[in-house]
Amino acid sequence: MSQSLRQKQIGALVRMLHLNEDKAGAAPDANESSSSSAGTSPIWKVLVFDSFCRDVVSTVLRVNDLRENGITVHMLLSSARSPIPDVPAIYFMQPSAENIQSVSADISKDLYELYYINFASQLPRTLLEEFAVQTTASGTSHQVAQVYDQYLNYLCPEENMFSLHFPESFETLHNPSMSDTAMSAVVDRIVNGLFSVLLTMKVVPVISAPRGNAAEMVATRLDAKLRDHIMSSRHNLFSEGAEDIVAQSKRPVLVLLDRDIDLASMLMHSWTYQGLIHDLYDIKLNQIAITQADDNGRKTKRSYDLNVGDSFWVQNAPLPFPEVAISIDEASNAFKREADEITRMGGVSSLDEVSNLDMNASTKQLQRAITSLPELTARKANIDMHMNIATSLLDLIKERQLDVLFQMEEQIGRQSKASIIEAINDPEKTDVQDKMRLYILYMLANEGLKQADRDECEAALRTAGCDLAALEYVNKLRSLNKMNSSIASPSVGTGAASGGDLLGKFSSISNRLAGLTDNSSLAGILSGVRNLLP
Amino acid sequence: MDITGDFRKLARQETTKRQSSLPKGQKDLGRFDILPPRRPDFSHPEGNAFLAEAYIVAKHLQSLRVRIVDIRPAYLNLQSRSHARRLGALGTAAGGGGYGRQSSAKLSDPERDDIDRGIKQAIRQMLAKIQSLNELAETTLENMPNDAREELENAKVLFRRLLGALDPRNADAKHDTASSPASQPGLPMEMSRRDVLAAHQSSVIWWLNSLLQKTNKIHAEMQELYLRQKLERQRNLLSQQQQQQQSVASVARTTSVSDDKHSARNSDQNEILSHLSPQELKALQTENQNIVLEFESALDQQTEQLYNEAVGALDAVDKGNDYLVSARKNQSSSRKWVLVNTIEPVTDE
Repeated sequence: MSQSLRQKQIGALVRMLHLNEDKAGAAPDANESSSSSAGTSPIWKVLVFDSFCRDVVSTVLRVNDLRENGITVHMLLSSARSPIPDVPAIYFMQPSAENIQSVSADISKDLYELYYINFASQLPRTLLEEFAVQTTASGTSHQVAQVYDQYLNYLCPEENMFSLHFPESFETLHNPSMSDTAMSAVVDRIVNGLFSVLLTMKVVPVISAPRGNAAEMVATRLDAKLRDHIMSSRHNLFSEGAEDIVAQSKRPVLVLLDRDIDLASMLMHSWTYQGLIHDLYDIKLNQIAITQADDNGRKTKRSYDLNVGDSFWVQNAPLPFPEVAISIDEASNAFKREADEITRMGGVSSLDEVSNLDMNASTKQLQRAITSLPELTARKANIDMHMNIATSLLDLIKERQLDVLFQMEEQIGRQSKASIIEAINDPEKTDVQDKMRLYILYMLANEGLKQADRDECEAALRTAGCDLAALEYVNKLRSLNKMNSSIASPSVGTGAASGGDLLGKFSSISNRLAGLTDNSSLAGILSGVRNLLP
Repeated sequence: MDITGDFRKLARQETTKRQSSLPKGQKDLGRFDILPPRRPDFSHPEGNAFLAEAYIVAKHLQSLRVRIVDIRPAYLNLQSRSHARRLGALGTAAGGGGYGRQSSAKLSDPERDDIDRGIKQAIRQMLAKIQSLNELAETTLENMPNDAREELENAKVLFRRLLGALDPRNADAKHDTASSPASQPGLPMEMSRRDVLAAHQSSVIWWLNSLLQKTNKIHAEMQELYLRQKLERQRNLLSQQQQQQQSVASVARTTSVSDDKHSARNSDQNEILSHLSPQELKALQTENQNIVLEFESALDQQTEQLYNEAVGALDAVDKGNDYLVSARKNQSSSRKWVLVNTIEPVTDE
């Protein structure tokens, strides 16, 4: 059975925590690490990481998982640390000059017994030389036991979803004042991240990307990097420990797209559980923070974990919110029923029943009650958490009239200008950004808007107190895209984005991808798409 | 990808370069880079009593767990001896050797009890060792040299924490990657040397406790499984015998009705007694007789006690009566004497 990307990342991290020792049949799942460590004595170590690697680790491993793998203390590289005698230290960080400096300083201060250095991505040769120079200068290079490139510089919040943990990448990539070197650095960072993902999955994909934007640059460089690595004389990491040759021959397709191909889906108000939570509470590293007012009116801030271990979350995340509310209700009732049954079974209500007690049956029931107690407590906490989240979501939905907005946006192509202006002017919709989003969606869906209509709407937005900077940007972007597409394919100008419905959007995407003048030519498709051939 | 080799090569080159630029007098300093990287034996730390003891406890826990896992097949083996012997023979014939024999060996109940007792004792010892390790950890922390520099460092850490707490910028700080230490790893802020050592020690003890709990759980599950299997087996035997009895009873039913009732009454007793061996039956009988004798003697003693108490009570009552009579007499004579004495002086005057 093939593992998900997340499981593979966990396996790689656990292997790193065991000092990169090759264990025959090492269990990839962190939960089984205790059984794999049962046969051999543990080695207690400390883990030092920078903030990026801390996020990588904390997304997939909890404190107890680290402890089970022998990590006693974990600290940030940037914090002031005291020496801990007689324990080795595992360092996990990004390859940067500052980090190298910090590690060298640690080693010269003799904080730990031995040092196992792991870099999240490939360490450039210059930095390796710098590291060697610094440790040699302090006479401590013999204390470095290992130096490894782990290729784990990405986050894996869900089983098959990864993120390069690159905050504000859209802004960075579209910043007109970016210099070429800065843009190159950004693209390199993306390429490194993707390379690590592919290496973890041990696949060499066929890369497809549209021309003319950042996606093309990333595709080109990733292609070059992969070729260099595979063709180079040294060990090919893709074939080490890879699955059988048959699986290797089935190459997946890596599709790289620029975000502005479809801005609309970013702006739409979501109606699924996960979408709503992310929109309203911003899920960061599988955690959210909710401010709730209790009965006394006091506001308490609570943080919740939402991860793959929560079966309720996994089942209900993609469902629409009303269905989730029903599920929570059902789960809560089922729990109450079970809890009542168990408490009822555990005791007798009157002395008359004592003589009628079947000792065997009652002990069994008591045993079942005792063993199921921790599971019931955990389930109750889980249901309470989702209940709290759903309640606060409901409050926000009512406050911002998100259900109304969602319904309007679903039919955005058929909305009239009057209804949009009415929504903008509606004081009951409290969040001005919601109004802005609604209008931008309307604008994106209706390219043929007259200038007068647009002015009227913008005036309404201004009255409502919106900041029109985003609108100006979207207008500029659209005009640029129109210019590009008119240069690339002059005959395709009409017919694109005819309506606001999804089918229309897909046809415009496919046109852009192919860069075609007509839709049916195979040669046209091939010429428009870059492929990586072996 | 392992780039340790590249690193060592570069370090060697660098050291060579440095050595060549040094004046002659300093060139004979030890060249550490040419030595193989030393990997100390982490499980035997010198001068660290806490860690050394912790590694020893861990080793014992591992071996205990391995022992339980090894004995599990034999423990749970409910097959008859002959079947086990046959399997054992097959095992040895096929070259399975001692392991095959061990896996098919049948343990008797007293042997199982011994094993259980041994394991429980070992677990208790391990628990005691972990407790003492905990105390050792506390002692180590207390004996940590707290010199002036350390005090200053602690004070600085506290001061920085206080400032951080009072900083208004932190109050509305966005939920960024550096905040919310609740469930993220990465210790927040700075920790003093003592705190770090305490965290390190408590994690070690946590690991040992966790392994002990898992080991105990394996053993408890093993016992539970064995008892359940045994109970299941006995129930199957019982049901088989019930069926036999019923077939016997159905044959007897064709002869006479009274025989039916008798056999029905007896069959209840028989099905309980039938699965007991004759020795066990005899033992039960002698036990029953002993219990009866004990009860009888106890009853006799109690009756005698009651009788003696009753007799004593009667004597006491008689004596009491005598005292009362004599008291009345005394009272009457004293009355007369008082009367005489008071009247006489009056008549004399």
